[in-house]
This record gives sequence, structure tokens and C-alpha cells, in this order.
Amino acid sequence: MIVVSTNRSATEKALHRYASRFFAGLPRNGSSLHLKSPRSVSKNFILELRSRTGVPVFFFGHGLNPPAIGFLGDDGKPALDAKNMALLTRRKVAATCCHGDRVGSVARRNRFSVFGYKGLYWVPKSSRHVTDCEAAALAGPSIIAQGGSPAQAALAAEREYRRLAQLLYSRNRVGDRAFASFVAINATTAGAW
Amino acid sequence: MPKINVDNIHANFVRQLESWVDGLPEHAKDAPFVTAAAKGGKELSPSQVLVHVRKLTPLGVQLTEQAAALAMSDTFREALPGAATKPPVKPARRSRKSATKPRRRGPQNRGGTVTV
Repeated sequence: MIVVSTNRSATEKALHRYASRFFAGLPRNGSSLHLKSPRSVSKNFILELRSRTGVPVFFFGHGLNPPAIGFLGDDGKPALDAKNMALLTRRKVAATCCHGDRVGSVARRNRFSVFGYKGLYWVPKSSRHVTDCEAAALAGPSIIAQGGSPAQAALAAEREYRRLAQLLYSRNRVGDRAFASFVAINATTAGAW
Repeated sequence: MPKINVDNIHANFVRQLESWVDGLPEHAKDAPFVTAAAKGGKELSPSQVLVHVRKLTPLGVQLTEQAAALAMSDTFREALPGAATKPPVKPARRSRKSATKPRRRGPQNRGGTVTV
């Protein structure tokens, strides 16, 4: 499995934390790799995709803004974009970033499948909420890591974000109710392509 | 079961957010609260979240819809029989006689498994 995370902005730092936890939970059999800052740039990503064909890819970071398609690297340049989507052929992709649906729009043509989020994917800033969101952020990728389909991953992510939104709403500490609505949006945008 | 006035849901959510923002220290009102994981990373402070909801921008509508759904599900859960509003049931006290004398149980009652 290939896990990729970037670590520049505060948002990326939160997602990098999730990626590190996720990678730590993968079986230690030498078949998985965590490509992280500062190595998570296009050249290295492409190299790993070429040398590890068919294995699932887990991306944690920023998605490219439409009309572009793909993922942003640690150097602020596209790490993977429309020109090299064919490198994802015969893989399951878990896109923990914005605009996963854009990557999904070219999935069938390039014979891969994607779990991700339609449009914007909201990430908290406060460390308390970053911790609260970890299980929900990793619910989808964990299903893919266990051999599940992107559709199953999307259902798991939706369920976990929905559960978290209700928990935050009931807990009602400072900022919880406002943040619960963003969490609930993530539940509604989780999808598979 | 308590009823939710759908007409007031937006006004209620705005009031909730106003009271949250008013209660924050000055520096936190305009500090980033959430960000989107997209290139350029759209950041929103508590004050900006309030503006989106107040003006019912597309994001404000989405947030209000989700807040309404959460409020309804929370109200529904609280109204369910056996929810937190009901006092916990005390276990029945056994009489002194039955407390000292072991109860006789039939073969089906002895433990968690039954053999046939």
C-alpha cells in the first residue's frame, strides 16, 4: 500500500497526523510505504506508483481545485494530475482531501476506483476537534486497507461522520455545535466512484 | 414529543452562532476555525461562519440544513422512552430471607447455556 501525506499548512498537518496513525496501523510486512514531507512530491509519487503496481493508494492532503484533477504535493505543485491518472489503473484510491469526485470523474476511463469526498472536505483547526475527527477521517481508508470496496468505505465514513456530528451536537462544548454541522457535511459528501 | 418549529430553525441557528461568537475572546473570533482540504485551503473563522449562515450563502444553507437535522435527531433521541429524562430504575431489593437463602433454580436457569 502507498500512503501519501503532505505537511505544509495547518490543514495538511492535521491530515498528516491521520496518515501517520493510519500507516502505523497497517501490517508490518514491508509491502507498505508512507511517502511523507518533504518527499511527497510528484517525482517520488510517480516513482512509487510505477514500482508498486496495483496496490491501493491513500492520499491525505489537498486536492487540486477544479477544473484541475488530482492531488497537491508537498512542494505546492501537483503531485498527481490529469496527465498521469493512468498510473492509478487497477487500484483502489482513498482520497482524504477536497474534490475527490474530480478524481472519481476519470476513474472509470482509467480503470481504477475511488473513495473520497465530493467538493470541499472540512478539517478542523482546534487540536480538540482534530482529535475528535480522527476515527471518522480514518473510517473509509481503513475499509480499503482491509480489502473493502470504495462504496463500503464511503458508507463507513458517512456513518462515522454522522455519529461524530451527533456526539458533538450533544456534547455542546464551545464551538461543538458549529463544528458539528461541518462534520455532518463531510458525512453527506463521502462517496465512491 | 417536543415539536420543532421549522420556520424558526434558521433564526435559532443564527442566535446559537451569535452567542458562540460573542462568547469567544477577540482574537479567536477571526482566527481560523475550519479549513477545506483544497489547494489554497479556504479557511473560515467563527465570524465568517456566522456571516455565511446569516446571509444564507450556499455554504450557509448547507450548514443550516445540517444543524436542523442534528437538532431534530437530538430532540427525537431525548423524547424516546427510556432516554435520559427518565430516572434510572433502582434494582429491586431482595428480602432478607431471600438474600441469605440461595434461590433454587431449575436446570434451564443454571448459567448461560442450556443443553438439550
